[in-house]
Amino acid sequence: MADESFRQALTRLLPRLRRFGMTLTGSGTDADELVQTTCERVLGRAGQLRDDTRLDAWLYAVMRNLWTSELRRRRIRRHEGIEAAEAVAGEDGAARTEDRMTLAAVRRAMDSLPEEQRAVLMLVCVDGLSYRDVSAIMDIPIGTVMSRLSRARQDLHARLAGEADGKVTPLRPARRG
Amino acid sequence: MAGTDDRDVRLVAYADGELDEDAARAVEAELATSAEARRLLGIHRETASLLKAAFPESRYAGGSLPPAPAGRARPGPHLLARPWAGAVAASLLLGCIGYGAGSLWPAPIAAGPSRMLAEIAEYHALYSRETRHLVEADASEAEHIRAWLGPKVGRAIAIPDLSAAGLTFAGARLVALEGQPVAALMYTRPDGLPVAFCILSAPAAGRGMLQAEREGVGVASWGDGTHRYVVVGEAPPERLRHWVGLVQRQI
Repeated sequence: MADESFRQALTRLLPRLRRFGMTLTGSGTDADELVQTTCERVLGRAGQLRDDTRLDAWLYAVMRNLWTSELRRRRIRRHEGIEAAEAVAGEDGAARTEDRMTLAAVRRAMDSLPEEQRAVLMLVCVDGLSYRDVSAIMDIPIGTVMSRLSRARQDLHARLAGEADGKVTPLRPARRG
Repeated sequence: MAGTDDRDVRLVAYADGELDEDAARAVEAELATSAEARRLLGIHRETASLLKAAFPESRYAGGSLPPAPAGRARPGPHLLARPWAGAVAASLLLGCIGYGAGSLWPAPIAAGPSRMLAEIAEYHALYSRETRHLVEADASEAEHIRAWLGPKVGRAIAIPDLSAAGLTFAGARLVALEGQPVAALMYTRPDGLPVAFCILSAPAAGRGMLQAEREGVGVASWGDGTHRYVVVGEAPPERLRHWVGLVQRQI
């Protein structure tokens, strides 16, 4: 891919990269720096892309590898809420209050899931990637993608049902799933 | 139960269109006879729809690519050259709203409370009320402040003149966060508690401008690729922006 067209494609993907960065890191600051580092890594490397490579999946894989390395280096896991970010970012003014509450509850529920579950849900349900792509991005077998997705959906539904019933759904730190 | 789990995995894969023809037919046969399977499939589809609606791409719009690399891409996997620097950067963002025109990543991205944030907030809350011992080096010792703090944070210390905003430079103090130095330039004002402009080394700090507020204390933070800068003080967002603008024009 030519450098200029590669930059253009990369620019178009920035919102999705940022969204995935938030999903992985749970932190706006870390997400921004992860996206920036990812872009710096891949700029000038368009030639490494095969014609049949999905650019978004390739970038997600780079992001995930960088974040894994970063976590290993830090030897700490820090989790800051997606929902906190959304809360201050402001809601869509056109949406109805009820819809906003529902979607806010979804974001809170998502935020309470472990990173691994958040990532597969985001990649499959929001980005629409195939299980095969997600398997490559997350470096896990397809069977694990499937079981993780199933568990994540069950957990998400349980949390949403808990909110709907008026129960307090605690926003707890990420745990491994 | 393994059977239930297996069924759910198949239903999820069916909802996602990931089953081959034979497997899909088997699921459809089950759906035809099982109300529970239909209920679960409905939940999985609804979950996917809700997630798509809750995280639209538009919420993450904005930003631009970094400049094209002059040579090799930045080596090494480290996003943040120093763990504490990243933690500080994150910690400064109670719930942040990007606003800076020209910022590399200006879109709203935020971080929640963190341990380092609490430290920054506590530092400022503590020092800003120490009116008799606000600084370690007085404003009259500007040259000493530059010589003292510059090497600590690895850059020349610019002391912005914020008198246009009614802020008077009072002096400086050295703040330690996890044993690492932060240069804090303190300014007083007649109508409120002191304000601080802080400089810390953060080689991989993002360039985005971020603004936060908690319990009346405003924090604005931005980076330039080598350092992170912070303006903190009790003020509404517009006044904080004004201070930041003055600082940015002078450093």
